[in-house]
Amino acid sequence: MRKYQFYKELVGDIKLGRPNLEVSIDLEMYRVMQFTLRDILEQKVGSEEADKIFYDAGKLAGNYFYEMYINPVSSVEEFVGKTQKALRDKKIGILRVEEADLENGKVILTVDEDLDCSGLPELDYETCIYDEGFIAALFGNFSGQEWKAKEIDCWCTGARTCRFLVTKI
Amino acid sequence: MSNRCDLEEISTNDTLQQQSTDEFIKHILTLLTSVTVSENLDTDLWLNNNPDAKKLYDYIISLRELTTALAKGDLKKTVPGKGYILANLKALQANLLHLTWQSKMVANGDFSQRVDFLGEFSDAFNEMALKLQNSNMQLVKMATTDTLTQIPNRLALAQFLSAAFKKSVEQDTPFSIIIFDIDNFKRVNDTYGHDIGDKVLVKISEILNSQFRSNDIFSRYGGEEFMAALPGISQENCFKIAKRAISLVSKTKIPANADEHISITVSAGVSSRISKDITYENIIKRSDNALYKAKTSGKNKVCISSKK
Ligand SMILES: [Zn+2]
Repeated sequence: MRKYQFYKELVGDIKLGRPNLEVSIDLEMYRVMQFTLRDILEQKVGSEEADKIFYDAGKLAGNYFYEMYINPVSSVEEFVGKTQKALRDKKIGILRVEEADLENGKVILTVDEDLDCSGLPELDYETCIYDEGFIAALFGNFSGQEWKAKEIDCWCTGARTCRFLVTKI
Repeated sequence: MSNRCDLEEISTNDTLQQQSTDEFIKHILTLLTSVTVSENLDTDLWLNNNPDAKKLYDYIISLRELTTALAKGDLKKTVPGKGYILANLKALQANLLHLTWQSKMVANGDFSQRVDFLGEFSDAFNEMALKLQNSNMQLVKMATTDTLTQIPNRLALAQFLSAAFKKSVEQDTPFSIIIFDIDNFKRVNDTYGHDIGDKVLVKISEILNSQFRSNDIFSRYGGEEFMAALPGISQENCFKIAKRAISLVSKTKIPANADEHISITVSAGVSSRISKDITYENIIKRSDNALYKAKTSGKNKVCISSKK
């Protein structure tokens, strides 16, 4: 028996529930929530497992996002265009495409002003693992096949933009 | 004595080290400023025991390689290294790559692409995309509009018919087609001339056009023939619409000159999709037969196809 299975209605009617504060919260608090959760997860299950959990959670969120804001699409162009617009409207980040070869299963994307990492201190690892799962799920939903995403440049590693290599499995 | 020797040794070491540092700085300067760098340089002496020198050296090599590639227009070059200057260059590279992708999209007809990251260039690109978008819209309009009556032409009609027919089959909804033909139009041309003939065509198309909804199409089908296609409308209802339309025309007087008005009538044939139809041409054929019936049985009337 699951207690916390995610379904889209769980997000609730935010406009109704927050007539004064509505949909916005301070990004600082979003990051505090994410990084504290990750801290505890790492302590309980180790770094590698914590990363996997974040990746899979990102995938779940990507599925939700695709269903709510991208579906239906009839072409690659429409898919990319709608994704760019939805990510910007939701203030998640500014998506750009460097290379999109969906047929051969290779896409390179950059996300500017990423909500998870832009402005973070310089670290020696890429940090946007939740985003990796999220992006993989978008491509998976669009193509009906399994994709994986790997962040190859990140603000945290001194880049100005996060770059993701997305490949078909 | 031995003291002196030691001192001499230290000073020799210092001199050697100073020489080495000078050479290293010179080499760094060469890497930053010269086109050619001597290939067979042994850098180990400078770098092996000095991690910061190694970092600096690697960073400058990365910078040199990346800027060389960028200057040549090679946008795919990747180099190791992070930090402020390389990050800025990589961001520029990412922007140029995205711009390349956007240009490809524009070339494929997606004129909605806009650039927001390259200052004045963005303005120029966006202006170009906007102008292309507008002129493309104009071209599409020109290619699909009848120049005289400004209603959709046969090209637009064909596109509409194939989409609407497909939808009607998929959703099993009615789909009707009316063909209108101006009665005795040749007589108008012969009596009053082609200018008046054109005026009549424009006026009649305006009257008939006013009888259709925005999701119907009313178009110029041929010389004095017009065609309307009505998704979701049954043959019986279509018949009523056609009747009302031709009756409106017969009540209108069109001025031919200062003291003469012409009365015009129109005949029409109506038919709807039946289950055995394979293309919209099948419906057109029956509407055309119905129109022929209307023409040969007194004109100024609507006939309906009897096929079920
Ligand atoms: Zn990142």
